[in-house]
Amino acid sequence: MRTRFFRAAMAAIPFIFAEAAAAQPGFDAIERADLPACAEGGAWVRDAAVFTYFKDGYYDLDKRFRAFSGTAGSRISAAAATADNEARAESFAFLHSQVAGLIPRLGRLLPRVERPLDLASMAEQLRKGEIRNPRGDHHTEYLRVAFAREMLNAPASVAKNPGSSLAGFLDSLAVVENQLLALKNGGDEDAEALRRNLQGLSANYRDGFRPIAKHVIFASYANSLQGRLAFGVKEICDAQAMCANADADENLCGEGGDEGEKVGGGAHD
Amino acid sequence: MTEKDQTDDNAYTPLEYLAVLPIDFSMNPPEDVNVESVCIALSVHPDVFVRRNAILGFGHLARVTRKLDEALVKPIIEAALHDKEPSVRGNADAAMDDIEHFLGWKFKRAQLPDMPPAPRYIRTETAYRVYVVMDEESNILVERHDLPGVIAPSDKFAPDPRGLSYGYEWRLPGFSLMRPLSKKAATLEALWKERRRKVWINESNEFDESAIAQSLTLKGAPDHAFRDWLEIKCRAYLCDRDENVWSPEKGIAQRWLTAEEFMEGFPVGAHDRYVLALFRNFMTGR
Repeated sequence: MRTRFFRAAMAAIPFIFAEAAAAQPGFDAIERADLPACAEGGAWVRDAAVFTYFKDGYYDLDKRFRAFSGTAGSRISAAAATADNEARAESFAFLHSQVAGLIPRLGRLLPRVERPLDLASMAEQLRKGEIRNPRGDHHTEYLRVAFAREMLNAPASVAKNPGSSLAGFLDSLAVVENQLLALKNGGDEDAEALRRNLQGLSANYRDGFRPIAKHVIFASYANSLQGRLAFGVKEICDAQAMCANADADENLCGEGGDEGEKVGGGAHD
Repeated sequence: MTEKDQTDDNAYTPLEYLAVLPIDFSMNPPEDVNVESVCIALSVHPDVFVRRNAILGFGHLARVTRKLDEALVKPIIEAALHDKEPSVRGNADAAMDDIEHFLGWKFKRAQLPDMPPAPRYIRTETAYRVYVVMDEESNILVERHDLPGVIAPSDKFAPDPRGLSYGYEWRLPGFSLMRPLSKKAATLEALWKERRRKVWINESNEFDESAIAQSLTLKGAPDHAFRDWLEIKCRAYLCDRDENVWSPEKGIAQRWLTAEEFMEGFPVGAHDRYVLALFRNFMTGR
């Protein structure tokens, strides 16, 4: 059943998404749209602007990643060689801001990723091949959960083990970010180890993350990207609707609820 | 000040101060105090916290001064390994590690008795909310009474109003859930709930767990007594440092610590360290 709110939101979609298509890249239009994620079974996902959003998101990340990885090696060498502590810290601060800036851009493609701390948890989900359902209300999280699950399903011709490849990229990104943060703050990280980790990060991007993301966004298989994501969002919404039922199967839906899991000294009354 | 003054346990000596004393002295031994004697005197104190810190003080002294009277101290630590309180036994074991490492002594390392089983039911007396507030670079917000120039440990700091840590220890933002929330506590609770509607919901912002712990301190908390069981409902909130989501009260100093500083470099309350350990476990072990 459509609510008055939803009718207003749906009526605004063509205008909002037209703006998104015109602006290059125009992430705000989709990110700031006030859309109930599951309204009409997630029909809004079929809009072509969703494809534009992921395409632009990918190129934005790719461009910045290459800008970072292409120059970071020489910058690290130069910074490590300088005797001026302030200049060295400044160089590492610049590199750190570059790599930290990649994380929210990666978060356009993966759910719940905005900060360095978020990387380990997402890597674990990718490694296990289990992207958790949306935890918040925002429609973009639904999109990203569906997109991340599409990436896990990339064929063997693209990646033998997509989950491990994607997780490896996130792990190496977290390591490099952490090392640069330490160096920026005057820590005694080994610049040579950082250079090696940087090479690993570039390889994990080139051979792992990049081909998988490109395949999901650009390869024409099964359906358009929006069509596949719309199916994924509908699956999430259907599962949520089923689990909202009081008689929901706990095995399928978990315990749910907003309360924290009890840890520590055992049961209490 | 005489040695007797230092160790005189009478009605005017707060137990909390006595518990801090051996740690305070052994980590920064004053020139005019025989710290070894202080620790020896307090190592048989009837209070478990005083006793266990006195035993731990020997380990600190070994590290800091590289000098202890083996004939006097060794039997005390070996006896503490059989203390009826598990925490004293644990500290004796830790002190032995330090002394073996720094002084090369050899102890009779008896097998530690098993820890008592966890109780099946625990009645908690009160509940606190504790927030791990983190900035853009994962630094952690902590606060304590503002006393420039006073070096911790010291009993000059005002007590933790949550009663979860010693006054001199840095602590996480937190408040009692048994009393009406202050304006800033209500604001932080509202911000945390609102995070679900943000575009950039974080994996790390999902941390929302509950720990059961025993009160360690005597002062500061109106809602619980020494050694009561407490529920610590802990959450993480990621913010930009400029957002100032938990502004300091008058007379309170705040700092942003790295995780390493929080766990090792700075004096931080044991319960607060436990909360960060839970957070790390949550982030890496799920």
